[in-house]
Amino acid sequence: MTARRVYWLALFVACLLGVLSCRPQASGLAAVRARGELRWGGDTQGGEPFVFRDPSHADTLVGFEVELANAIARELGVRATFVQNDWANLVPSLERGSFDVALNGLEVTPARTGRVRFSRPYYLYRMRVMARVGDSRVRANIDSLRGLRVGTLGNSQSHDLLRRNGIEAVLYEGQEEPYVDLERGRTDAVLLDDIIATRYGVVKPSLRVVGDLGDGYYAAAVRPADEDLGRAIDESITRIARSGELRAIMARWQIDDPRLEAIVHWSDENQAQLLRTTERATFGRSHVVLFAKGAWVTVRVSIGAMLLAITLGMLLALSRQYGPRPIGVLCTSYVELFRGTPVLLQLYLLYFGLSRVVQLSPMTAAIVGLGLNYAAYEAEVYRAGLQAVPKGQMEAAIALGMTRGLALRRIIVPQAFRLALPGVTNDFIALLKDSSLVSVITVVELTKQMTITAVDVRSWLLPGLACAAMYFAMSYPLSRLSRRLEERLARS
Amino acid sequence: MIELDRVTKAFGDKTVLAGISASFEPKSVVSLVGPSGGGKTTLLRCLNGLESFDSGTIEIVGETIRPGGEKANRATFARLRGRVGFVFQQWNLFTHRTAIGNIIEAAVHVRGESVSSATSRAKELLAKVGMEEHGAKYPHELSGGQQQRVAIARALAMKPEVLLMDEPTSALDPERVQDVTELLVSLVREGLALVIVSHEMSFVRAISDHVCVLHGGSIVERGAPKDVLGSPKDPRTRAFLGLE
Repeated sequence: MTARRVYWLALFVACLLGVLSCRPQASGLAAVRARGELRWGGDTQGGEPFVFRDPSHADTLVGFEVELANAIARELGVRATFVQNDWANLVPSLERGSFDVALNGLEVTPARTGRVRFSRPYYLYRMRVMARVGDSRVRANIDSLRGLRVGTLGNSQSHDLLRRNGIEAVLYEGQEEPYVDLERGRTDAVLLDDIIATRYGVVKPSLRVVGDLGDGYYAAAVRPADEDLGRAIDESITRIARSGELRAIMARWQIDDPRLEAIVHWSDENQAQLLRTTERATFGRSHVVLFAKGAWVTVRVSIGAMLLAITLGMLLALSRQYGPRPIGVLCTSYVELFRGTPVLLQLYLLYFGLSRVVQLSPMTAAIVGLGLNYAAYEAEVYRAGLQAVPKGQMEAAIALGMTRGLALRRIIVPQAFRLALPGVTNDFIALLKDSSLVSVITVVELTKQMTITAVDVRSWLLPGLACAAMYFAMSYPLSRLSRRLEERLARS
Repeated sequence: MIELDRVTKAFGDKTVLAGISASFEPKSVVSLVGPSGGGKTTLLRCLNGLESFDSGTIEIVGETIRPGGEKANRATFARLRGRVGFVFQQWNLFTHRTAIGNIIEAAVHVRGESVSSATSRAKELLAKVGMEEHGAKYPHELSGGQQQRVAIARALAMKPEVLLMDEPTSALDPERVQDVTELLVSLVREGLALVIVSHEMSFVRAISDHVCVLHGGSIVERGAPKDVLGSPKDPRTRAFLGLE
């Protein structure tokens, strides 16, 4: 590809992203009323007791926020419709108009305050520290966490608190996993909202509640342009709280607390106080440094996984082609199994599923997981390469007195590898991008770093473009290399 | 030197070698001729174990090959293959190695010679086959005749006593046939024995001490080329030579 074509391609991608990031028309209270439905966004993966599928009726959503959303909709004279959305991206999705209101354990943080229009809070929670029973290093103050690995959810208030204090945060996407890893010793503590700690941490006998590091509020969020909808939701929550319904809902879910009276009698001054501090981070040099770190992780994971995939893939291909039949069948099964199931699932199983048996570090699990998966693809690429080596090459080697093993090593495999090289580089480029999946097992690579930053700076455009540029800078030289190799092979 | 004793081979119910017995004198040039499917290439490939056979024995350079292929003859083949070279119809040069690389490959990795001594010998061999200019070239950069010379040099690097050649002239331009004939004659003069499968009767006549006509898996006629090719007695030979 010439430099000019690359330029036009980049311009096209930039324009596309620009168009996609434009905001759709504001809906507002009138639009909600006209439609007769309040679309509210949440993540069922957040689980009990927020929003989750009723275990006995999988098509029914339950949780205290479901009841709250229904009550608010009732007050507005409309019905409530749930919109599933990844929790870490509730705010960007709200902004792009996927739903009218985000209502799912959204904490009032300075970073979010300037970006969305928060309603009055509907819950007062505490950030709760949990640790393993007997680990006396962890105490109920932030300083005791320095130097330890602390699990939490990405972009949560707890994550903010840890980052502000320069403490290493291990980021999870689900509520249960932080406590599983804490039990297994992969982290030293977990800092999360008390509701989550109660449901997922306290039930594990090997864990103990250490204490709380401060309060926080959940509130509903609407777009700033929908001020009238925001006010109507404020009034609805006030009525629901004053009538006693709010605490009754919380009581049904065993999360009621006398401290909630502060919310029942919430005043305009309280609200002003809550929203006082806003923060406006902009995408800058510090983020680029973080991206570079993320890219370095991406490179390490990709290269490590590729080396494993190349070696194991070659062994699999050779065993299939030249090994005894039972081993060949075994290798074929491996290839089909690993190609036929999602790599995301394999990563989960390897990291969380097997954690009772083997304790892999996140980085090791990432490399091994991706490597095992890609080995299946490499095996196929090599098989094609091995089959493309003419039969006469093996005969010539045998006629010269070589053993089959020596002939494979010296004659067949080097030729097959040359034939397979374009496919291998191609797979390596794919792997480079697939490596973003390892964020589910707490490895913060380039894409994860980008999503964290995007939420921080309240924009996906610049971080997205910067992230894309970094991936491109890594993959483009590879695809050039692959093309050059192909041309060289075509000549010979 | 070469002694065949009732060698048989069948692919399924198709007989390829129907109990061949013959002995050939040492240091001679033997040609196997006959119609396609007569068994000559199969027999040639049996002589260094590229092909297995079902019964009988083959004695060559003092080693005895028994039925059962690679499994039954592992130790025999290990000794045999250095001493019985094979030049393929399509030469089968290693495509990822230069001419020199092709020649030293087995010397270094099978015979355990050092790279430097194997390389200097490879250069001598290339000179011998008239290819000293082309040592650094890859097979795809060489013409068919040049590839054949490299293939011969590669076989000679193992210091064989017998060289088996499958259709050495079939992939050559007619004017190159004279060159390879001269090369082979000079090698024979140095004491190398040849077993050749060929369709090219003028070449066979020029080079052979002894000709065997194979038909339907049996030797139907054998003898000096002037007798067998000049005044064949067996009607199948006459038919094959187009004399009837």
